[in-house]
Amino acid sequence: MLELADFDEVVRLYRPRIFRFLMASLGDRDVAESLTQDCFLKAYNARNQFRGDSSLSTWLTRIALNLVRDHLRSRRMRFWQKTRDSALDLVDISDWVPDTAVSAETAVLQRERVKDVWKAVDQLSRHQRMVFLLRFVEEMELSEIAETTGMNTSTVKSHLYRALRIVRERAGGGKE
Amino acid sequence: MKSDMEYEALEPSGEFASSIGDFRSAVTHVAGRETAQPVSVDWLVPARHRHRRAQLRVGLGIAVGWACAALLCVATLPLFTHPHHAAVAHVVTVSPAAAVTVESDSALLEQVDTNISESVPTPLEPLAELESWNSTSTNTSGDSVNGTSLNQTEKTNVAH
Repeated sequence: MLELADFDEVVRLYRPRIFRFLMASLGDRDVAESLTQDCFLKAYNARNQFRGDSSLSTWLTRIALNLVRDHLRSRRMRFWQKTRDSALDLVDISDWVPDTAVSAETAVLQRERVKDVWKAVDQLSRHQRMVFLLRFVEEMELSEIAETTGMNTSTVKSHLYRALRIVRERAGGGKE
Repeated sequence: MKSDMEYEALEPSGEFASSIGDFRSAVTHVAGRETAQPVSVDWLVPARHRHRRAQLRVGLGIAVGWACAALLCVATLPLFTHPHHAAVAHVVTVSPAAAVTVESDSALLEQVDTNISESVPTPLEPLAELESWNSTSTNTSGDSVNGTSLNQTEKTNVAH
């Protein structure tokens, strides 16, 4: 069971990760921030139910997944769909590739790649996108993804395989 | 062997792996920048407000739902009671109507019988005589004779 004093630490540790997953899932910073707050509020209200059977990260991610699902189902989603052009757009995220000691040409190439992958991920189905992000952004193992999403491992593999194929085709990363 | 192939299918490599790595770096960078500021004490207050509003909406929705259901019941109550009365009335009124119909039918049949059995009108009087004559000849000479005499009468009528 989580103690109240521990909860501040939980927020400090896991907020960036939950926000990252929500932002990558929904493509909107404001919605991601609101849902991050909702996620920690739900976790706080249900802290007595946390038995430690799964890791805290898995538990929080599961709450975040449910929030994404509810958000996509709600009527607010239609409003978000209409205004998503004014939200975090593709150019913005491709501009935020961290600067490293690379040449200008390589940096441009990186931005282009990120832009293409972001666009391809955005076109995935909900399950495919969820599994893809959990695997390659949150770097979860397949068994962790299965536990978090409630799917069996074969289904996770199936979604991941299809997601990878689609992203590879659309992002033009076929040359391996 | 199969698991190796599966692993290769699910693990990108080469340029594609670099693209996905860059994507992760970009998303992590943005998320890190957005959450760099430590949260304030009232960070969860907006979420609490949203939660209360959502609860209020759900409660209001349930109340409105029950109110609508109650109104619907009250509004449709006459529809459920009215057909019963109508059915009873129908049962009650059907029998006299049927009796009246039967009576009127029998009266009509009687009237038809009466009209048929009335005396033949004047312009057809010769025909009536002929009919009476035919009936007498049938009585005396049988069917074959009756057929012959009828033919003769017809021939006579045609000749005239």
